[in-house]
Amino acid sequence: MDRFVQGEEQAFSTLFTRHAGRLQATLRRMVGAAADDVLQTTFLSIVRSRGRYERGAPFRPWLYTVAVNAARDHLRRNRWEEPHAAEDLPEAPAEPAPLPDPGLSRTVEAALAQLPGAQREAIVLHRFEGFSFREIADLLGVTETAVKVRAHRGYERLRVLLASQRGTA
Amino acid sequence: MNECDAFLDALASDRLEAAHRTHARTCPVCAPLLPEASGAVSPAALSLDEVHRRALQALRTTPARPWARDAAMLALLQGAIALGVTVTLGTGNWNSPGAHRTALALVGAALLGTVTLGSILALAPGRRRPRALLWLVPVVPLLLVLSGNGVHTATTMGAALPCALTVVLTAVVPLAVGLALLRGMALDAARTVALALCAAATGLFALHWHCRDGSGAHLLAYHALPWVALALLAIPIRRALPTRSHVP
Repeated sequence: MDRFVQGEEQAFSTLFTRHAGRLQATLRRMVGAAADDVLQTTFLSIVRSRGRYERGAPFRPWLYTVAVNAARDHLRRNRWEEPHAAEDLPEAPAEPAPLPDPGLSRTVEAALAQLPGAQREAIVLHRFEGFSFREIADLLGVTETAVKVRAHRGYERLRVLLASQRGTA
Repeated sequence: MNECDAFLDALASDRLEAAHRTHARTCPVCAPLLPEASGAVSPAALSLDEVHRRALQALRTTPARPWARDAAMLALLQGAIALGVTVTLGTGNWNSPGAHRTALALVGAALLGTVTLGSILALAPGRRRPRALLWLVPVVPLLLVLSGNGVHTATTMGAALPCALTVVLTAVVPLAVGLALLRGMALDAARTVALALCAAATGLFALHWHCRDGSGAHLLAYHALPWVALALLAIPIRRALPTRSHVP
């Protein structure tokens, strides 16, 4: 990270390769079809403001904080857009899903899109990115209790939505 | 509590055990919520290349800019404005017979610290330091009242309004510069208020030495109130401005 802050391209490319794909998937769950724009904004932000990186701080939470800020800013100015259909996306070396149900992720994403933004953020970061509630609290600048409440309400709502979608399918 | 509720509670409290997973694998409602059912959204490789290319281009053309340099420049600017306006207005309060000079000096030093060091803390990376500055909202008015001489001289609104105008007009330039700097970081209402409080304290500092009306009512209504109002006004202004970078 220090090498990236000093402007070393190879160091930036390493960070990009390590995090960009997964972050793109996360942003698709947060902002839908605008994920690529928000991803671009996120990486341009960290490049332009790398002087604000605090030495020694872990990079991934910092990157996700920037991404969440960019996603919020996007959603404040625009509406959530439906993600591109999976068949429109180019082939990519995605990790094999342990439960290969093609409708599953679409179902979850459709339900996620109906959640309020704060609940969606908490669930995406917790459930898909594996951050702990403590880490999410630091990342979002709120208390751990607030994150737990958001996640719990979100999961509750998500389960109702999934049940109704399964019912109508 | 049924098995679905137990699974949900376990998921929301980070205590997912084997029994919960076993249930979820066979439950059509809970299965999509299993952590391993990530159902990865395929990353679009082509668009990633484009994002990478543009970011590299930005890296080549944008030198790293230490945040402390901008913060120090703002602190210097605000300090210079505060001292300049003080010299222009004069030190009538300090020279008045009823002045509590020790209290005035201590509070004056605290206000100068707010104007200079406060703006550095308000621009610091992270969220904790700007939020700590929100304590200024109750503390500064209290200090102003405690250091006042209690004498009410500006008995009409016409005589008192210039104080409020001084706070507002003195804050215009530092606030504008501060808001321009805030565009280079993530939208954060607490940081915006913190920075605006420090910028608007320039006028408070000048009035502290100049204004002879030391009554609590005058200090709160015509010094502290416009100071807080400016800080709150900064929030919608910042929200209306486009953000150049979303780094905290």
